[in-house]
Amino acid sequence: MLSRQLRFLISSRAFSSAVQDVSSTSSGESIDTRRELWRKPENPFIKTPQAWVSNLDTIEDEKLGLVDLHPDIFRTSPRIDILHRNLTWQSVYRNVQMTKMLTKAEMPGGGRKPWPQKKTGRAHVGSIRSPQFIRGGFANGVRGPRTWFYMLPDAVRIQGLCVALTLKHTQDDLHIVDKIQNLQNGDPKYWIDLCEARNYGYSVLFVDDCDEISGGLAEAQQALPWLNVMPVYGLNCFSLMKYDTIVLSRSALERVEERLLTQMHRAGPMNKKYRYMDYKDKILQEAEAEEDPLMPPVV
Amino acid sequence: MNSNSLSRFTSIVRTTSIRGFHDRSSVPRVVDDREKSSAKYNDAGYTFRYHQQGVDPLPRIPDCKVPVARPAYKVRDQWSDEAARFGQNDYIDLLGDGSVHPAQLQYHTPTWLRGFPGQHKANELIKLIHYRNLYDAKLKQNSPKRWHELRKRIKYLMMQHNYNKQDEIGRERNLGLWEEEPDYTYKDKSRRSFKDEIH
Repeated sequence: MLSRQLRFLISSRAFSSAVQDVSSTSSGESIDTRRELWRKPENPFIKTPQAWVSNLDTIEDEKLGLVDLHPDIFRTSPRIDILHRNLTWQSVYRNVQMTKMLTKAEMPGGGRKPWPQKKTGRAHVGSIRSPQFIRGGFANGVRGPRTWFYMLPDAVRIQGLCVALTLKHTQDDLHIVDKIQNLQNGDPKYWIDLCEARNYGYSVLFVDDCDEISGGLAEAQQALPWLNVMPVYGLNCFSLMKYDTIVLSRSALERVEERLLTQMHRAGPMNKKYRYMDYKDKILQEAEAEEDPLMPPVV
Repeated sequence: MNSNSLSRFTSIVRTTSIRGFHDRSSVPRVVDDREKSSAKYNDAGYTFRYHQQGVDPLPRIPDCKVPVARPAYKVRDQWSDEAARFGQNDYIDLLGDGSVHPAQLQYHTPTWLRGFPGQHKANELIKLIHYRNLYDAKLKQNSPKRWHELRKRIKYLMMQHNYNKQDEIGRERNLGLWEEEPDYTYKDKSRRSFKDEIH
């Protein structure tokens, strides 16, 4: 639907009267169509993607205007491989395995030779905890708390976010609304109807700049499990792919672009290695409250 | 005469070529039942089905009412509170104000492993050395048996990596646990000797 409107808009760009018609149909409020995009690429072949700004006050979708989106973020090349690296990293890097299989040395007992070395016709063994025994120790078992922690390079993570946002935008699953805070209607039925009327799909993720939300959306979010709100810093590839529709507030859009462009154009290497050294003091200092004063952790 | 000898030969062949399980004992052992020494198992109840497609049904006792033991059916809610927010803070160092890193937020891991490179990068030896560096005094004081076991394990792994798995030794400086280059200017070698403890 959005693409059809966009196509209509692009075809009508040549006639100024048609553009005026479009702006006159929007409900009087003027939304700045041409935002100042920071470090916009000079390439004339790169089109500036656009999105409608709409309102959450009514069930039906009312267009308030169009905004320009930054081409470096919302029109990158769809590198599915990089997105896949991000998704894999997200699902794997927090895994912990707490199993510890005891070795022969760590099992109790087993110090005595069970039977003489020769002349019994039995196997030559030295301990009942040898790995070939049932109830013996394990050779090459799973050892201790095992983690899969690693950090993807920043460049890959930033590009993964850009690819996910680009895909959502090109598939018409990215919507922009003027505000999310302090909405009037908190009735779940209203939000179900709204998502139904606007063809949002099964699940919706609202993203706002502020990390506390109040008003109608907060109540609806408590009642509906498939409708959730996230702050901008909580945005990630997995959620972008998991939810059918992403709804960004206007301030969240500004914030996402600002953060991603800052990271893209920052000074210093983009593939800076993650070093445990750098975070060790901070992590251990935070964990001091969890430590037992006398006993070391068991595992 | 000739046919008689031939038949005797074939009968010998037949008795010796009975297919049975591998049994290396050439001497009949003393057993509780004397039938056992000669009667060997040669059939496990398996029929070969080389040209038959599909999978055989699993063996079941007919008319048995006891249900087959199996893990309980678990309903996984993809939209529970945790699942709906899975991965929420993974990009917080890039999108946030830069004061928090995802490595700090691994609250489900033991404290000494938060942000520590995983075992596909840092192997068990390096992990145990890290544990020892943090908790050596506490272990020695309050849990000597575990201290002893830890030392034994580290010693074993040292030998393993020095003699059998030397390919993993050179990578330890690349992990970000220690400085890449050793401190060549450290000259105080007065206290070093061959009697030093090498774990």
